[in-house]
Amino acid sequence: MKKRSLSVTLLTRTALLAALAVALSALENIFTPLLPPGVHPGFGNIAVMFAAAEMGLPWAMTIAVIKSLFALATRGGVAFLMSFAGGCASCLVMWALFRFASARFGLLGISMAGAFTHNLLQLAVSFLLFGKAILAYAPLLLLLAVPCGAVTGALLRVSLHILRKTYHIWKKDKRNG
Amino acid sequence: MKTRFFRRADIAVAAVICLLSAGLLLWISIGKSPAGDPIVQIEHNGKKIDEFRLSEFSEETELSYPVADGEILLTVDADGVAVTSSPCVGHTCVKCGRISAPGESIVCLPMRFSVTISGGNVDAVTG
Repeated sequence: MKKRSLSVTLLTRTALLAALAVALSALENIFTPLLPPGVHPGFGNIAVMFAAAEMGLPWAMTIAVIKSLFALATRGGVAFLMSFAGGCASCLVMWALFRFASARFGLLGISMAGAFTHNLLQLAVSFLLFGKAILAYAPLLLLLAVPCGAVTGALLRVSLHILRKTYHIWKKDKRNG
Repeated sequence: MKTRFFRRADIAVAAVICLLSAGLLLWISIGKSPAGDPIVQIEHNGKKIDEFRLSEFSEETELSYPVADGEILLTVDADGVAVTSSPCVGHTCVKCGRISAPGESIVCLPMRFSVTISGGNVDAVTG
């Protein structure tokens, strides 16, 4: 019975963060006209990053997959492939840095590394689909991982106390359950 | 999460990303075809479907290419080429605007369609 409560708590936690990731992904469309064509700031990664740090790899990966399913529903199959590959790889990198190198790297560096991995995998998928035509975009997209990652990391830092507060309520529920 | 917002190693992360991007830009610039009469290559689903020189178009011309959900329209003249209409969702390809220099490209990911400019080869040798 206790095991079931734990699963429900984790599922609820994951569902809420996945909803946050999807909402932030939709919200970032306001800012995309200010950026070069095809570039997204990656606000949805805030939820993935928080999950990678606080909940563990499987749950963070689940959120990344749900986020890519949102891309499938709104932007089609190619967007899904790119979001899935980029999201899962960046999730893995951010989790590994939080788990094994958080004493060396700050939120800023981990966020930038995650954004870089995300863009790199998206470029790799595009390269497999389109060939070298996509290479013209590569330097700019990779370079934009620095400002986009910095903004995402800063937004996570700003919203951390709210997310933590919710997280502690969950933890309290888990103990009571 | 006990991670601080900033640590010194974060600068190294940013520096590595900048260096990799700069290196890639350099590699692409070196690999560019020699300057000449620019050649435009159109690819759809990974296959080349058209190729022409910009100099062939003295006046602004509209070209149409059928894709999965309709057609993609290109506007071409001697100064460059642009995607003016596409059935894709985000219209990122249309927002890219006009391209004219060798090495530039417009890619429409949802329609798996690309327009790439490469430098034309010099056909005549004098001396």
